Amino acid sequence: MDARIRRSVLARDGALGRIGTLTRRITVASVAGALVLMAGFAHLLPTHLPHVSTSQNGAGSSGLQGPQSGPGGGNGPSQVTSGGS
Amino acid sequence: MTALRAPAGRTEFEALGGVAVVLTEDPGRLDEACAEVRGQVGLIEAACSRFRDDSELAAVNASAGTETVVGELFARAVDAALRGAELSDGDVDFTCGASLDAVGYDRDFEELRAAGVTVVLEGYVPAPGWRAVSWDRSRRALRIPAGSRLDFGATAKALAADIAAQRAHAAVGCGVLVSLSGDLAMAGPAPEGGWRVRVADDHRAADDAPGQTITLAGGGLATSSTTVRRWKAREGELHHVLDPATGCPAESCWRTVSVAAATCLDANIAATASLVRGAAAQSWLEQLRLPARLVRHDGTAITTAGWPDGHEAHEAHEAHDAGRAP
Repeated sequence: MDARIRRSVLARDGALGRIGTLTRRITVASVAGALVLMAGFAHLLPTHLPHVSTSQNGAGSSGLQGPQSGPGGGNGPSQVTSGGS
Repeated sequence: MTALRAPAGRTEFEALGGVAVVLTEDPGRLDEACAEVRGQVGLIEAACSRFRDDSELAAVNASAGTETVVGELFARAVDAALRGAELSDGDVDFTCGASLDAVGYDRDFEELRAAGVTVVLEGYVPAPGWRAVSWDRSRRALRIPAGSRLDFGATAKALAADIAAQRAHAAVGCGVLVSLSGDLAMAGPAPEGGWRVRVADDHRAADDAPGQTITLAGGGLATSSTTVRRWKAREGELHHVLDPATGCPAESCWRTVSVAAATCLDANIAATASLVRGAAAQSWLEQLRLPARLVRHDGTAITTAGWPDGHEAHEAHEAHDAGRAP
């Protein structure tokens, strides 16, 4: 193998080595970044599956119920006031 | 011709941050009915007050993130709150305790009003949402998200009115109406011609304040308003009806909404949700066949589902018919 070919091989190996080093560094940085993000936002992850039981006296599926007889018009002094509080 | 009506028994007292009123068809049974109502109000306050360190709610909030087994009345309040959240698609959300704290409503409102403080906002806090709550009804085991706080303000008072009216009626036998800060529940027969109720912005308003007088024979009536419970912040005035999605006071086209329903609880859910929903509330209430009166900021009102027309309602219908913006 003449000197020119040897230099080319060495240059190729050197470039491959640098690419490998860069790839490892990117991998390490990505993993570290992911770990930092996971640690920072871990509190937002649910620790259990929410379970809402509405089978007894709960929200149910009956919907909001209207009155049996609707309000009628009135006059004269009132007995009580409905308003904000 | 106006029908002659026998005088009903009537008494009132301060409770739950407002005025409680008890009416009985038979005046002679008023004291007994009032005692039942006072007892129920005391129980609901001990269970659900956000401002009492010894309440069951305070214990649940302090245990956020872990499971707490609650008492039966508190469980009924959870059921009521879940009903409100589910049937309003989350517009009425009881996980908004931290949101209310963030806007300065972190103490009894009378203290807030008396202190005359100007709140410094550090940001709005959206509610985590009712679906994040774990509730095992059979064990009465409740777990709320870590860091969250519950507030039953929209439903516990209405539930208390429903329970109090039923118990008072069962105790005295005659028709009873219970009003807790303007949220009304009725049980038993109404007087001839019905209970006469003034609907206004403020439940403490005088009879001649702007509003409408109606009659009711049963069920419940609730009014939600952004005009009463208001306080100052550097950014402007705030009120207590929050949009759970943002944690901000709801920017509603209505200032006051009154709804009649089968129960005070359902009426309160619909009224509060309507404030949050804004213009979309009218068709929502019509679809549900819930009689309601919705008052705009300029004082004009519209009605839904058979609510009797009053003077203001006529004006609003005319404005609507003329094509003016709602």
